[in-house]
This record gives sequence, structure tokens and C-alpha cells, in this order.
Amino acid sequence: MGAEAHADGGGSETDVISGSESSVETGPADWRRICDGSQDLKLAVRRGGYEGGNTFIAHELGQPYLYVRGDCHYWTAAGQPQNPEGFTLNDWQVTHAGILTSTMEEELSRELLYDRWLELAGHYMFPNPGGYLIEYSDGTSTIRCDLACSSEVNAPQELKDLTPVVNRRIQRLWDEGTELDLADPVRIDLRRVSGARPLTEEPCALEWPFDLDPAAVARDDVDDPSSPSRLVTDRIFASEIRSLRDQYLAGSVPEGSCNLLLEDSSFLFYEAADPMTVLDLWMRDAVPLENADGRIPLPEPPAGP
Amino acid sequence: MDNRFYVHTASNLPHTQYTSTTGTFTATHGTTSGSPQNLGGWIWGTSGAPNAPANVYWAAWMEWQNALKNSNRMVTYFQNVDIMAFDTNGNLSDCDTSCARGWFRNMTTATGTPAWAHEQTPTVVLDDGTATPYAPQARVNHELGHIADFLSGPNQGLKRSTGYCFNDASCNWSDGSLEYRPAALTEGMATFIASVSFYTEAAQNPRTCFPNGNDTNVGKRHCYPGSGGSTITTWGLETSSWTGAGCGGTNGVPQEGRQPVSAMRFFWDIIDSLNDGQDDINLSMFNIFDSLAAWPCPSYPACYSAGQLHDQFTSVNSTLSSATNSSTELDDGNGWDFRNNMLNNYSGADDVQNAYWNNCMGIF
Repeated sequence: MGAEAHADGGGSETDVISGSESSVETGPADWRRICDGSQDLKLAVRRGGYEGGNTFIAHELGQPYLYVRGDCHYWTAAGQPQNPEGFTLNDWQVTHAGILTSTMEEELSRELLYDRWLELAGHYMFPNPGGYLIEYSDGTSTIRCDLACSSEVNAPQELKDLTPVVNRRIQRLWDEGTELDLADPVRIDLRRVSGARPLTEEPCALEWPFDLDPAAVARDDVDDPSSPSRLVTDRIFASEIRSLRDQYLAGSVPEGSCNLLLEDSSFLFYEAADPMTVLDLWMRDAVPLENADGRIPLPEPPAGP
Repeated sequence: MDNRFYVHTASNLPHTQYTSTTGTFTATHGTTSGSPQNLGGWIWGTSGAPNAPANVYWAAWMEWQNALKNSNRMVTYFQNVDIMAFDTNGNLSDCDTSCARGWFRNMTTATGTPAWAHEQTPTVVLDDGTATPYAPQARVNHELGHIADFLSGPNQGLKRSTGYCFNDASCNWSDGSLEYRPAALTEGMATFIASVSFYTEAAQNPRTCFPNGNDTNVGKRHCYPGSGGSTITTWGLETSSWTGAGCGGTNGVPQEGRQPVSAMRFFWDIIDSLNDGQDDINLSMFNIFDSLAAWPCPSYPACYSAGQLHDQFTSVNSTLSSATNSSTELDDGNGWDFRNNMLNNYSGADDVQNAYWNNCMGIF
């Protein structure tokens, strides 16, 4: 946990921008301000279009993603963690948050061509198997580019050139941000399914250690991997599950147990009173800009460039 | 493997030589091409330390043997496919969870082949997710299914997807998500071909899922239902929600025809030998590939001229992209078009409409 993180996921207070600065919508002549002091989404950059695996929870907001609110708070998830063998954990990511300083805001705006997004808005399509996208939005205008705006897409060259810049910038903001507070809200994807044998015989399963009733937060439709995740605001549960995630991602597990997270799998829990029911749990950090379904919808791009 | 496919490293990593863990053998005298010495089984890796490239190679071999090679069209065109494994952390930034690029076959550096790929070579990129080497049906076989689908088209090139943003802000897709109909058909076709790699036409309960064969939890190692307390979603390919209630009925899924899994079931019922009450036809894989070759140009949205939406010959994107935001066009190239093409344009003149209707493809 970052020592100076806010309850809402913000970063250090030392960088808070004054009201007069943050209310300015346009920067000096050659760049456009991002922060206007509001609580609205002002900048979104995210990759999407993933093929589903066992859960979409890690991909609901994009992967990676960067969201900036009008008060200059930002939330970002950069590259996914890797296991000791060097394979990527596609379904796990850790969100960092922070506040843009004036310098950071200007750099971000200039690098991402923020002043040109209205002009570039559109969906640059490609009829491809697999739908990998990159999206940019200021909350009003949206640019959607198939294949992450690769050379195959008929998008302006400046958008193609932007993808690696974005990747580097998101990584840098993630590095400069801090982890969310342990007790900040989380989103979970919890399925209750019948097991074929008692989970007490499964070395990777853990007895449910939380006070929260799993039945109250379980997914309604266990067969739909894209059904919405659940927001959990219980601060004790959030602290405990986030701590457990961080511990497992760091490779630390109780002796005699095994680490499913480093196999890019979910937590397996069971209740002592019902060891035949599997509690299969995925989680991610929640971001304040999300809607009830755990999404941050962007305006649809215009019909075509 | 007769130059069908090559498994490469990705991201310009140096090639690695893998050594079989099988013991040594003694060569015998008298071995000829007509009377080869049987060396028995060969093993790469162990159960405790599996060899990821070997798993990929095995899965690709299964697909060639069981799904592709009975098609003369595949024998002719499915050649020199690159399988690039495994992309390290998104260096090939447009293939985050693996992808297929059949149209690289028709491209050169001058016309847009990326630096990481080989010119004029159908290409699959596998991501470096932990499950990827051990989830063949959903990864390497699925992507090779896209390659086969593409190569089967007229002039060995067929693209039909119109994107994945039907009702999902993140534009993700899965077996059960709702998609534009051509996207559902394309993804369903790819996984269907992958499934034929592992299930015979007489299989009682063919299934698909996103397993992780390397998972320490047995329930996540495969797609079999109810095994080991499986906590993954698995999909049966033989039956649809039709059972008992009819499409869209009590057990039905609204807009079920937009689910990729419905397309998988549609194709499965075309080639399987079981009549589960949903189908009355039993064709072969080559019928499907050959029918795809008969797509009319340009009345079906493939084979448009260079630079248009379904152009398969260049990297130039569609000039129709602005027009495709009509819901009608976004659904062009769907399962009903497949049925009509197979009936009216393909020399076999097979009518697969029962499989279409009874797998709820008409509910969208």
C-alpha cells in the first residue's frame, strides 16, 4: 500500500493542483489542458478487445488503461505481473493511482496529442479475427483503432505512432503512482459451483477466511464468463482480499499450499460447513469512475473518419 | 511436418534447441525409407516441467491430422504457417491474447508486413500467458482455425468480421458473448475447427472451454464437465438451448444466434455423425472448406476490390468503414449467408438449414 494513498485511490496530497490552475480548460497556445477541476472523466486511454478466458474481470476497464478525472486524479494499470517462469498473468493486474502535477499534465497532453482528439475521432476498422483495440477519449470525443492502430489499419500515421508512446507513458505513470489503499473498494467475480470431491482434499484450496457471506456476492449466472463483476465496499473484506492477492502475486504462500495466482488462475475457497462447494474468486481494484457494471463507458466514435 | 507449420520464437528471441527427454536408441541395420525403424514414442518435457513449444507443436499436429488434411484445399494451401510463440509481454502489440494473420500470406514488407513477421506467410502469434501453451483448443488450434478459414476462401483469402463491439463497452468476446453475426461466425468457425482436432465426428459430448493444462487444479486442466470440481465454464458443442423449450424459450438465450458458441454448434452438427435431434446431415470437413471457396464475389462481403472492407489482399483498410455502422451491414456475412452459399454456390448444394435453425442461429 502506498503510504500517502487516499481512500478513493488518489495519491499523495503534495501534488494537489490549485483551484485556479485546474479550472483552466486550455493550456498555452500549443497544448490543451486535461484538468478542469471537475469530477468528470477527462482522459481515457485503454486497450481492449480481448478474447475471453475464465473471467473478464481483469479486462473490464482495459488492459492496460489510464483514466484521468477533471481534478487531475488518475488511475492506471500497466503491464501485467509475470510468474517466475516469465509467463504473463493475463487475468491479474494491480492498479496504481496518483495526481497529475502541472508538468505531468502538460507532458501527457502533448505526448498523447490531446488537443487533436476531436479532429481524429472515429473508428478505424479492420475486419480481423481478434478485436484488439486501443481507445482514446476525452469524455466527449472518442478514437477507436483496431489492432492497436498497427500498420495494417488505415488510421492516420500519428495515431499509429502513438501506441508505443502511450504504452511507455502508462508504464511511467504507473511507476510514479501508488497502490490503492488496502481498504478501497474491490470488484470480485465469485462463482459457487459444485465440486466432485471435498475441497479439503484440494491442496490449492483455502478455507474461506472472510466474514463476508460469499452467497451475498456470488455471480448470478455461473455459466456466463462475461457477466458483470460485483463491487464490494466492505473495507475489512477489501483489505483482507487485497492483502492476500498481493501476498500471492509476490510468490508468498503458506507452506504446503500452492500458488494458483502464479498460474494465472483464481483463488479457490471453500466454507468449512460445505467443502463440496467451490468458491472460485477473481478480483481487481475498483476505480471510482466505474458504473454499476464495473465499466467506464466511452462515447461511441463517429461513424467513420 | 511437410512444411505445414513452423513453431518460432517471437519478438526476435534467438531460436532454442529442445532436447527430447526420451532415452537413447540404437540404430539398426537395414533401415530403408520403405522399411523404417520404429523408434517408439518421443517425449519432450515432463509432467513436472512441461515443454511449452512441444505442447504447441503437438496441438498443431493434431489439427492438421484430424481437421485439415482430408481437405484437398488445405493440402494445397495450408503451408508454411508461422506459429510465433510466445510473445513476450505484448511486444507484438496487436495480439494481446493471441491472434491469426492469414492475410500476411498476401503481403510483403512493401505492402505492410510488420517487421516481426515474415513476408507472404500466414502467421499465428501466441501470447505469453501462463495458460496459452496448455489451452490448445482456445489458443493455437483456434488461431490455426482462423488461418484455415481464411485460406479456404476465394483466392485463398476470406475475412468477414465486422468488429466485436456489439454490446460490450470493452469490445471483448467469449464463447458466450453476443457479437455481430459475422464476428460470431468467424470465431465459432475457428473454435469449431480446433474442436475437430480433438473430437471425432461420433463424439457424444464434444466440449470447449479455456482450460489451463498446466494448472495445479485438476478441474482447470481440461474442459470435461464435472471433473475434479471444475470451476471453469465449459460449453457443449452438440446441443443448444433448443432442448425442450425451443430457441428463445424457457432455456433459451436471447439473441443466441449472436453467440460464437452457437456457430460452433451449427458447424459441429454439419459434420457430426450423431443426430441429436438438431441436425440431419453428416458432411465432411472438406465440404465446409470447399463451400467457403465458393463465396460469390462481390455480392457477399468478401472479395471486394483492393482497399475495401473485406479486401483480403492488402493491408489497406476499408473505405466502407463509415458505411458499416449500419446495423444491417455489420451483420452481413452471417450464418444464413453461409447456409445460402453452401446451398446455392457450392457444387455440393447441401442444405444445412436444419442445423442453422435448430442451433438457434436465427435468433439474433
